[in-house]
Amino acid sequence: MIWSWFPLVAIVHMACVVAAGVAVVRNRNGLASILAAMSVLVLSVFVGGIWIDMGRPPLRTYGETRLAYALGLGVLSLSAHRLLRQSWTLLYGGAMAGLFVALTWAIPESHSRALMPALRSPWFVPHVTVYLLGYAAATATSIAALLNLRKPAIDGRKLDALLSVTIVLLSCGLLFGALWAKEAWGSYWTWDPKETWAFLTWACYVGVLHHRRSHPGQELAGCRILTVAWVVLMLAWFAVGYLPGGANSVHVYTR
Amino acid sequence: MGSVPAALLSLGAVAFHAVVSQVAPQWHPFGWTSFGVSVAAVLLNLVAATALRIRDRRWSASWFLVHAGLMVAIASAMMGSMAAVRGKVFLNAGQATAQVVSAKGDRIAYLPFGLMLQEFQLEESAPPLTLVDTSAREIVFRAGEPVFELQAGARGTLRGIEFEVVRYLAHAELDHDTIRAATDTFCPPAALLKYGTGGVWREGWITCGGIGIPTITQPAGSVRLAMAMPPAKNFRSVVTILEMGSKPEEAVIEVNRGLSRDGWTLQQLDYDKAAGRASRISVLEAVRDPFAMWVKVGICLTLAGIVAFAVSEWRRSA
Repeated sequence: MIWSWFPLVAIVHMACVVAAGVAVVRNRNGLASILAAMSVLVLSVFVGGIWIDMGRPPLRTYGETRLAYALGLGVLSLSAHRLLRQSWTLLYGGAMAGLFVALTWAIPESHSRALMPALRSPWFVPHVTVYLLGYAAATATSIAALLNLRKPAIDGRKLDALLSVTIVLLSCGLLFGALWAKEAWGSYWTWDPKETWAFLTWACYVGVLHHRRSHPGQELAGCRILTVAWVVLMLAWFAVGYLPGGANSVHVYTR
Repeated sequence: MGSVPAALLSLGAVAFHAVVSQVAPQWHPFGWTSFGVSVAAVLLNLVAATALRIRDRRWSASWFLVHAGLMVAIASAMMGSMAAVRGKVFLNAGQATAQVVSAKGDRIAYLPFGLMLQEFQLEESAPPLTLVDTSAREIVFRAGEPVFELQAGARGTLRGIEFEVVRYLAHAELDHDTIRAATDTFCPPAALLKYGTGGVWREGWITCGGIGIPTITQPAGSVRLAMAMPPAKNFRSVVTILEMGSKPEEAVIEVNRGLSRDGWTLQQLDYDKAAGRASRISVLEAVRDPFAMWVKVGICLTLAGIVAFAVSEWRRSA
């Protein structure tokens, strides 16, 4: 199984990420981009390999989604770096991707080729991929907001652009999920715990968008809500199963 | 109140309701068991906010599509929740039924056609190897340990126990003291393992047990090697649709591939899990929601609006 190579992949990935961080600190942005791209390449090859090896999209367990999230973070931070020419995007993307790769290594999981019938749908890959990219964008937005709480570090227009990407991805994830649910269970929406928390996350980020548009002078309030929104996002992703009512969620596939 | 504060208020209201429902136990005195009230409030706020925006002529195409789409979807979903008929259809092999039983079992609706279960089909993945402690009657397989699928030729090492699958039977039965291939496809799988612990090699059959054969495990040190139940891969009902004045028609209803007919949507929901492949029962979810199509229209409008919003934001930031 290709999964047995994961420790080696994790070490190479983290080495690339750390080296990219050092290059950013030393203002060698070209080298930093190459190293960040290498970390993304290593993870892409590994994720592609386990997809082929397991014969199913590696997006079922928490560990698998953490890896896909780390990959999404890498891709987004590289794209953002190319567009915004801001070196912090590489630092952020690398640090978060490294953290999530390390978490996947630290929390062992058994990886089975089996995929339950409900997940065998054409909606599975787009729904989860869009969500993980949305989570990556949301994390970037919230971290940018957190940085701005200390001192204005990120230009307001750039924060708006990140927020827009987050909302577009989270909205698509929510709506794809509704369309899939209709096909699988006959209902677009059932207020399942996972759905409710996904809605809460979306509501937080959409709320900030509305607030920023209506109160352009009140940057700090929006930044504070964005910081809280990230906590809601993490709860929606990892903690739903542990909340009252969460045990009955049809979205917990790791039991 | 301005349109944006109205939108914020409605988002906050439903978010608060959602938080309460997720972190506090639900009981009737508070009336917080249903989202109907807050969703209606959201819809009203959305209508009010949209009306204010339109009055002030402060709207773009993307804004209009997103908000109109949300309104159409929420209003249709609300009307659908009032008008829809939903329930379960319990199919027994060889018997016809048109009954749709509500979730509480207190109401019965009827499909305009009958359904007869011809066959229930269950596809299974290869069964995984696991470790059990028979004295404690529990599976002692730990998270992080490799999962080995039992197929002919498969080999590996699990918690220091080396093994190889010498022979695999997709359907096995017990013939006195020997295990042989069964012709009955409802019989469970079995695997002949060659395994070694501490330099001692043994051979023995393992099976999860079922029709024609009990569960068999093999001792390996302090634990026993066992076969877990094969996980379900897909399941479907092959049904005959019986309708007055029409020829009987065959149809297949499987997970993620429902059947729509005469305003009803039928989805494959469940089966007799204890019987597995031998299940003679299939449970379908039946829904008749005249507004479902409009919900989809609303979702598509919203998606179009989101794409337009992404494009406009991209141009703005560029």
